[in-house]
Amino acid sequence: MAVAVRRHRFTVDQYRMIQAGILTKEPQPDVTVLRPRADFYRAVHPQPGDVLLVIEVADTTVEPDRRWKVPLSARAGLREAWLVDLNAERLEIYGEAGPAGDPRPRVLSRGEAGAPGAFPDLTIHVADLLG
Amino acid sequence: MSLADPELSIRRFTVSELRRMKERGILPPQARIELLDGLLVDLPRPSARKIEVVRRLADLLAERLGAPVQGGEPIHPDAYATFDPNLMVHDWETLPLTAPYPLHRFSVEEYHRLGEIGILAAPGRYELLDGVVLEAAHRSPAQRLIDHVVDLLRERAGDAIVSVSDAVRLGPYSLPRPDVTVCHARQDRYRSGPPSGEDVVLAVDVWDGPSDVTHALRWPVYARWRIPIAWLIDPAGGAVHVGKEPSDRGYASTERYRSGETLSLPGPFHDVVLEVDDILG
Repeated sequence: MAVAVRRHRFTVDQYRMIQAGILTKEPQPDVTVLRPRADFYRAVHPQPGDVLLVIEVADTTVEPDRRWKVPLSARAGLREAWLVDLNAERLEIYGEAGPAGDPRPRVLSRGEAGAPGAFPDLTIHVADLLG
Repeated sequence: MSLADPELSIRRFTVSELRRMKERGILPPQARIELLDGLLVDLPRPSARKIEVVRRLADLLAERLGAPVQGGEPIHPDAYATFDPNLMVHDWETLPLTAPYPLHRFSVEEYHRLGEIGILAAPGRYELLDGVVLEAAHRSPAQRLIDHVVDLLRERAGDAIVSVSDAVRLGPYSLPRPDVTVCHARQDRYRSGPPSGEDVVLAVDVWDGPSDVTHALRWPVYARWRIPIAWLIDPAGGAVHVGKEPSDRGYASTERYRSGETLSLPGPFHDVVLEVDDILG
């Protein structure tokens, strides 16, 4: 599918809160990709069903993000979460396969590439993320 | 003592309460705070490397998806909470559930404003200890014993002001409610604002049984803000635990007084002597 078709359909967001599940969680992932919405979520907070991908980028908080935030995303019904581990220089992809909440990620290292489940054509090289 | 203690009842917040705090300016609108299972945690300031990778990632996705990038600047000066660790007694950061995300701490002023906007609508139910709002409702120390201790202190301590479960302002982040507080006499009887540590002669708590950890949280804060003497009355054990010599690291001296022994009050009330047996009733 040509990129042009998708122009301005999605929203890529840094640090927007997501209202997740029951009303006691409001995580602020580092980057989220949201479903298209004409007002770009100015008036409403994204709901779990609006979220196509959440990404956490971690150096000082790798362990709690992995142990705590990723499972929280899964429990809230977010379909896929990425964790960029800056220390180990790798990308962990959660929720791609297996039952919901499956904690075992697909792990990609610097030389590898992966695509979000929502955008199978969108191949991203780990080396491009890490720079 | 840590917040991991199952008996500790931290006031948890909801998403709508968090939004109201931002709308009403109790938290900066761009505050980097997350609500995780009802606990408000401060996000640590990101490293330059992390900011760089987040930007690159967002730009890459935006370019490939033909989508605009939105969202706040992550390094806004007001976005990250900063607290002077010298003012804090409890290492709330050790909460295993949220480590290393520290619990967000409210100042006394912010705590009052939470009450004004209806989030902590019944302030008597809560206390603020080192910036964390705790619920008092799970405790029910023997009211009869508290009444008795109040009567006794009023009778013996003359013009001192004795109050029950009233807030004491201890530094910028704590507003505990000792079960009984004895304060120096003052013309306005503290109507203009709660007493501070130097106004307090004695703070008394009644132990409510093995699950009651409140005193373990309050005492270090009492001592940090120089309440000269604290009592913990243990009716089941027939004893009064007394903390003296307050310091930044808690009461340097703690002693247990039993039946047959006597206790005295500090400073101008040093001639007030009470029998342990009288206190226990």
